[in-house]
Amino acid sequence: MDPLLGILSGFSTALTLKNLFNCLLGCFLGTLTGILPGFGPAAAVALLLPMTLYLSPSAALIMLAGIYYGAMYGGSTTSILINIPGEAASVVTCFDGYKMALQGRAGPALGIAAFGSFIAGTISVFGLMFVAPPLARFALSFTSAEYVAIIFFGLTLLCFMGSGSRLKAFMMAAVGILLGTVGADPVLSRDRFTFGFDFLMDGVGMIPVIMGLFGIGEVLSNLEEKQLSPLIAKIKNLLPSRADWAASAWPMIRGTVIGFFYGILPGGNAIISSILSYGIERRLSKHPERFGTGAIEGVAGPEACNNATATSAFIPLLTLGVPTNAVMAIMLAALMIHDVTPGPLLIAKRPDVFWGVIASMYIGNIILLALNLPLIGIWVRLLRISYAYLFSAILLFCLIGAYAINGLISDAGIMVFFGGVGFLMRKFDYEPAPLVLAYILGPLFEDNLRRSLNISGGDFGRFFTRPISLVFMLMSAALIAYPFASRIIRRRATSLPSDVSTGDG
Amino acid sequence: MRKYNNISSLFWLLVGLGFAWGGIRYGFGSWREPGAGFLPIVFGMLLAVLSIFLFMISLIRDPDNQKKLFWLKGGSRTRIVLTFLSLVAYTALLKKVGFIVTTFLFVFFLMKGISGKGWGLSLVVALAFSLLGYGLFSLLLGVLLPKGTLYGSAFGYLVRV
Repeated sequence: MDPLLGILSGFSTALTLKNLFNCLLGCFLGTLTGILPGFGPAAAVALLLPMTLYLSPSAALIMLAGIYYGAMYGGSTTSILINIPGEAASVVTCFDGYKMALQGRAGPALGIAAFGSFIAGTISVFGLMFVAPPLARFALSFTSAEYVAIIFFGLTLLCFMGSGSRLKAFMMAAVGILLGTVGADPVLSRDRFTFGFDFLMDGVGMIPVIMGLFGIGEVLSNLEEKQLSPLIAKIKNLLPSRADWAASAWPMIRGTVIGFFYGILPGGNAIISSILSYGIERRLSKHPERFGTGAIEGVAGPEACNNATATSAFIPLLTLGVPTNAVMAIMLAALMIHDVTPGPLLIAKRPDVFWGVIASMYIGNIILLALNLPLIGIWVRLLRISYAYLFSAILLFCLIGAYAINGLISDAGIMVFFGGVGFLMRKFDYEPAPLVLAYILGPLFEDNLRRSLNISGGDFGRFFTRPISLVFMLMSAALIAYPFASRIIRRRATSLPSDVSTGDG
Repeated sequence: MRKYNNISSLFWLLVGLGFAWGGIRYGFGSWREPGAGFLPIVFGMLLAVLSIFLFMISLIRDPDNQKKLFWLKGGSRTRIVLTFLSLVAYTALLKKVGFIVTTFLFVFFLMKGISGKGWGLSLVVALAFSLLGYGLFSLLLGVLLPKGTLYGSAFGYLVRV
């Protein structure tokens, strides 16, 4: 289908009263959750996922996309106002956004963050519309070998891009793959690691695991900390001045381009891209010393960048069926619950879902701008609500949500168990994202790996003889080798002068 | 950090070996035709090897010199343990006692026991949460919430009446 015809049909899906409401509700709930310090988009989408169980696939994805964007927007608000990033990608916004708030310029900081996100989101949706269909057509020629290589590269990149130890990230990816083997074997349908429990026959429930690791784990961690600092910034003049716009226009455009291309990469996430954007703006600036002291460019660029990344991350999910980050992995889980299989055939088989979601992203961006600017006072007041009510409501919502998926108490039990695991993982410095992504991709990885080995007669050379899989395998190998190579180079560089001096002496 | 890395690496070593052992029982198959135990063996062994690496590296490097504390200074560990136990109790009681009573007790405990709110406020919030939760999920979204085999059924009956 032609992209223009596609998007028109998408608008006919997204502009129905029901889907408009779903989009609005998603954006509202996403912003609401994103505002809560400590709750990132992954936790927000995981927590609110049960609400979409009773919707049609397109309506569910529309609402989930709204929740995702809303949480991203909400995260920026807390970064600027109380210096606590609502989600990891907003850490960069704290650098200058909070400084602007301290200088009495919280309004323009919030305004430029909202406009930057809106512009980047809209341009990226436009890019998605034109990039996704040809990529899906191209992906039709992919065999199991390409999928194995792409998944392997995605997991490797995610392990390398995390903020913690790479070794621990690889360990968590391995745990995720192993967790994915619980239940029926995808090829022979033989039960594995079920220990006689019926509720494990279909595997460990995806949603309870995600809600536990991200939602409950996060609440338990937050409970330990002391009360959050009260709001100190006052908000006035939300609209940025002409000078603000002049300083922010190019950073926004550059941020959008960086974010868009970065989001397509398997393993690409908004944290790295927004740091990249901040670094570039600082380098290009005539007054780099202003960065970190309240420069509006330092808010505009990264904010545009992280929203562009958030949008383009849908491209590999919808066209290849391969999620590139934890939020997309949850989206994949949601689609699978609704019996929709993302991949090259999605555009042809379910155009209502594909184009409907893209059209709703346009609408969602407008809704978010409307929600974030005029309603800023409400969000600010929300920051003052006692955590006692919030965490009680969140825990209850998680429990009922996990139970409601299949009407099984065992699902709620699994969620509580993984909540404890998630809390301990935070304590022992293990990141949950590689585990979740590997766990969701595990069955797909196993299926394709075994099929591929079957076809090649057990020859691993198949992954290195097909051009696309070769490229991804080489990139993975380069990533794994990089820390070792750079250490050797550094060691040689430091040992060189001492050799020379020994020679002289 | 070394102590925590050592503890956790030993735990993951056992998990990895457990999966690998299970995989051997399910059958590795062959490279040409991998069996049901293929992936558990490969990744179980990989996890075991990585865990040993972590153990060795933390022994050699000892980054924080064991200075990191498990519980935050001034943080409340009892709050976390009790909240977690209340979650376990909720899942254990839900079917027998029913949604409304279990939710009431759960929220009341969180408000009074964990957050230290007053009796009256805790009672009101607990009642509001259980009734609103029932209304939202059962009446509006059509989720079949457990009515309970004990008091829950009687309580649920009263609510419906």
